[in-house]
Amino acid sequence: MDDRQLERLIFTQRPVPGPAFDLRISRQAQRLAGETQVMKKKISVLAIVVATVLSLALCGAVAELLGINLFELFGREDQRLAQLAPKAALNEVSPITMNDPKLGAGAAGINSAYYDGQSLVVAYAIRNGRYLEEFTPTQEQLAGMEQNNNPLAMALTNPETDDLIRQWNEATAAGKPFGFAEYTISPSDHTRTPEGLDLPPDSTSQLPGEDGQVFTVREYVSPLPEEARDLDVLHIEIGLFQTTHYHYFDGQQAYSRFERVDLEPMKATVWRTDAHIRRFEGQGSFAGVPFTVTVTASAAAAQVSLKAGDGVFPALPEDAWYAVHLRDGKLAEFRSLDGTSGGKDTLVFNFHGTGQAPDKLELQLRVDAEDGAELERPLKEPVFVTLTKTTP
Amino acid sequence: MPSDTRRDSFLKAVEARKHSMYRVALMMLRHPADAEDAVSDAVEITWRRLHSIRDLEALPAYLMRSTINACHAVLRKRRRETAMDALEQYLPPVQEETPVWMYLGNLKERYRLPLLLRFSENMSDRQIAQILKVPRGTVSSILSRGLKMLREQIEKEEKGCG
Repeated sequence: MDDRQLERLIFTQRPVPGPAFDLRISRQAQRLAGETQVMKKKISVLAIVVATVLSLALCGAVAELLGINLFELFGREDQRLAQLAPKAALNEVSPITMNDPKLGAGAAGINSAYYDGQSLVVAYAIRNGRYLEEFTPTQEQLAGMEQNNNPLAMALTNPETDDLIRQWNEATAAGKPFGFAEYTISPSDHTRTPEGLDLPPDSTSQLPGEDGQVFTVREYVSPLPEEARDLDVLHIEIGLFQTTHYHYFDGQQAYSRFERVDLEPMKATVWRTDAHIRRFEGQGSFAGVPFTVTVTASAAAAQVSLKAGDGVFPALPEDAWYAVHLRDGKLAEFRSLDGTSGGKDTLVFNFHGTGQAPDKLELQLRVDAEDGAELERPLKEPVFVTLTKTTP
Repeated sequence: MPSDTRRDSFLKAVEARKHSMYRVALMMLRHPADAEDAVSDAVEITWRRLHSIRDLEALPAYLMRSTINACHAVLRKRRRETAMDALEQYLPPVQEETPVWMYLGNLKERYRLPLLLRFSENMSDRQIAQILKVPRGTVSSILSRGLKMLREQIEKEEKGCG
């Protein structure tokens, strides 16, 4: 038996798990992906009433879309955004409207934004931004589509409305022909300033509303790039695209085609709020390594920098990482956005703020590890540091 | 909270890789229920650590690595491996005369995982090196040596039977 035969046998004899396993893991992944999202939650009746009342001062669908401060809406689930809401109102909104045979009368616009000189959070709304329909290509259309090697199972963006995607997954698994087209109005991942700065996004949260509305809060990496810090006003624009994605499976071979048209970008002028940016310092020692701490914190975000006084923070096993727990004088926890490995002289940690600029701060530096990871004793001892405020 | 892009990448990677994860776990743990649990643990751990993964293209490799870590945790807990014939009874019936996966299971982990990742899961040397945390140049020599050992084992068994 030569190597080629052996390789072929390894492939052809490979075991395949049963359908119960498939279902279990898919459901688990969907549950995990949904557990920290607020996507499935409907807007309350009160919110709709508020939106409707405010919209009377404006006109039509665009007014409905932009007539409510989305920070307040998301604030029902996130106390931090609720506290930022009063500082996030925009003086003027510039909605984009469009009319498409498939999507209908659509509208999109930046509704509200928080900018304190260091951090930026933007809320926008899109109406009638997604539509799916069955699609069977003509021979001519099929000739213009790209062949794909394997028809991968697709994730359901919205399990309540994505029946065609469910049918696609079933058909491709069963080797049956099926196709669908997805029409969307999508925002660009890029948020640009007139000076050409591309503000790096960090995360987004979404809420579906009534009548095909989708509300989004986009967070940006904090602190912002230096050129975007401490300005009186920040002009931003987020690109908009109309996209069509065709998918077709003929029973054996998968095909796809992607079309995109650029629309007018969503624009906003965001004035800097009078929010406080506070700085703190402290000292500590971890696993025999003395270090200094500097913290920049606002209502929206905080960044902790630990600098080893001599040498580096000890390197860690692959299943372990440094973590910082940060809390203010009211014992409100800042939500950590990252962990980091050691073996370097400076560790930087980013956090979401609590909604209020802190007057007092304390932190705990520790090493977290997955079950089974073995740590040397000095790494198991967390260290607490009370920080001193250095700005008023 | 992971961004939509991260969440979608996670869901797609899990769907695309769950069978590969299962096969790796089955090869290491030799028991289907334990393998399923290990994959489930790996999915959970990857989700919890998703915010720290900088390159989303590395997500499939991260899932595979998490699966191997989860299996090691199970093995540490067991402190022993199930008898070798346990794997055979859980493999699908094979029409060919040579039950290659059974012989593959007899190889040391250093050889059987690279062979599985390459020839069952179609992964490149670079991906295998990333998952197993070995130098890329080492992967090809392990594969070459692993194939040789596998072939020798099969020939020895077949001669013994013949």
